[in-house]
Amino acid sequence: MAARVFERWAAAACMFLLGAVAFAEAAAANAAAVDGKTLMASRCVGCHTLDNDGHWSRIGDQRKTPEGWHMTLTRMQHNHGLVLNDAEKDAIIKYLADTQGLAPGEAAPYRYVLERRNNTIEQYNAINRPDSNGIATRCTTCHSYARIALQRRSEEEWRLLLHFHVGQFPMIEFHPAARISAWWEENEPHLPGVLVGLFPLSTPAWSEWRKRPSPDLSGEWRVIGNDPGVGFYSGTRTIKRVGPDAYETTTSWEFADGHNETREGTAVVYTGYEWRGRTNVRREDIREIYAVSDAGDQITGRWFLARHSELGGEFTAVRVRSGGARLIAANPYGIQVGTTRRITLVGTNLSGVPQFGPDLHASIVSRTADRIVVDVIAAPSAETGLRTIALEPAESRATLAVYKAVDQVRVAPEYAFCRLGEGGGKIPIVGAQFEAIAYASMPGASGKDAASVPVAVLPAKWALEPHTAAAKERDDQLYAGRITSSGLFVPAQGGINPLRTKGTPNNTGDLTVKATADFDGKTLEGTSHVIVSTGMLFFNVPIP
Amino acid sequence: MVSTEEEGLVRPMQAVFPLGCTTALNPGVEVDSTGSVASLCTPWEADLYGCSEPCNWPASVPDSMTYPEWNQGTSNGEADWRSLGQIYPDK
Repeated sequence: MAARVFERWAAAACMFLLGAVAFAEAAAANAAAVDGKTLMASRCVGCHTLDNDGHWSRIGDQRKTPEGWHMTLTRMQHNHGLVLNDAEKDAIIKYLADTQGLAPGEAAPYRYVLERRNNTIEQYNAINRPDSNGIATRCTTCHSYARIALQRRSEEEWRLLLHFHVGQFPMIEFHPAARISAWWEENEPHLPGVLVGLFPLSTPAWSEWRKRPSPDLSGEWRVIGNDPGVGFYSGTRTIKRVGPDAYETTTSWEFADGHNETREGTAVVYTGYEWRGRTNVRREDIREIYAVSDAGDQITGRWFLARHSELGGEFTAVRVRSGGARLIAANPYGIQVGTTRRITLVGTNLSGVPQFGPDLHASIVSRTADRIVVDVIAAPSAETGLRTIALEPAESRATLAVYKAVDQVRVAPEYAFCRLGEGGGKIPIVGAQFEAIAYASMPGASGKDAASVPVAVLPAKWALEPHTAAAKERDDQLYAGRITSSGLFVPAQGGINPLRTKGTPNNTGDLTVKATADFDGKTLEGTSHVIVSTGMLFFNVPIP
Repeated sequence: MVSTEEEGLVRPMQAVFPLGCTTALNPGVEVDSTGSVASLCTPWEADLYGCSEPCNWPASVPDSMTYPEWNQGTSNGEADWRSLGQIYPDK
């Protein structure tokens, strides 16, 4: 069960019981083998019409992400009797995402939901115009704002979506947040106009993007990332093209502590940039949700466990080009003045001597073409600030934070929503992986305003405490879950707990997560907030 | 409590949703009106069907119109909740 997945995942990461795992997946081959456009002509035509201009009724007035089209087709299968096998479904999703997708810039602000960063606190009122508040009080009572913002429709299609909701969910007008007003009368005339203003079907960005050919991503790539609870990693990925927009991958990662992981996988690229990969790590199926840069030379995103999307890591891959030198990252990425730190520089085709700027002196410990290990001495008089590390002739994006003293530890995520599960049932628990990150004050980019900048991920001692007086009264810290030495919060089991007599019979909780870390001669504490809710994850939708 | 001047009486204010229900059901935010868990429906297993349909949580709990097969044979939430499966299970 999922709790064992949690345990095994954490244990494997700690014990380094890892190795190469072959992974075969048919999706990549299927995507190339079946033609989605042809399939639509036979499968969609039962309910939709195709006019002489190639425009499908309903379908043709919408644009969505691959996940959006996946959810649409799943609904057609479940609610309307559409019959498709997995290969056919993959092919139609591919065709629709390619021809009616989102431009990279349209999806960019909302990638957090595709990447399953489900503890993101959405700031929709700040990033959209004031009248998007209508969506805040309507759609986001049940959905993430990103679910709406990752769709583009004509005004009529937005209106029909509203009608669909009342037809499919007739109690919608009686929802606690809806029954206080004349829901239909207030929304039907008004909301489609707001939505089409925010998210119109036709945009210059999409018109331009869909003209572009899909990039060929085959070749060698340099990889860096962070696996929360385990740490920084770097490595290589070989991408082999096996069909149009279909790839096989072989990836090798090395963590800062020296242990290695190798995995094989597959991927399909939708809409010319939406990388959707599958692989296997520590005997767990992994999903990769990445975006390819406009230039086709960088792939960035998040990977996560298929069964526990809350567990996963950051990923960046940079294409290795012959003769093209790039310095990608430094780890660790901070140094205190008056100290010495061993730092690994990661990149491609690295040559020359790294330059850290005035009052920082580096001596090279070891070097290869893609990794240089240096001991850096920061003089007590070194000026604080964020420095770009120069390594001519490489193009550098690696920075080093030079600081006087760490002044706080922040725990990420700052708020985590966890769910009870299992307890003999079928629904997995939802936990959270925390990290303790040291911050230091230093001049901002302008050189005037002080900014608090992350300077290191710290090993920490983790503890749980009641977050409120009521939580203390209920002894939430004893029942709602536990936290491991690597900061992994594992919620308690679902079901009624006969041992719990105060406040609630369920293992709910409202807890403070406390990290205590010793760093640069100081003992620092940071906290986060975790809710353990009774709301089980009955819907594991790609876009909540 | 509110008073009505005309009658000189004090009567309970009529709530627009059952007391104790969650007021926010956004994905990932199934918390009570204070942002905590004290007023969540518990034991949740017993309240499952009584709350999910009348309060309309179709994005959190499968509704019987869209997913009539979801809870077939599991009419007693408290006894049968372990049989309930996931919509969109990712294997």
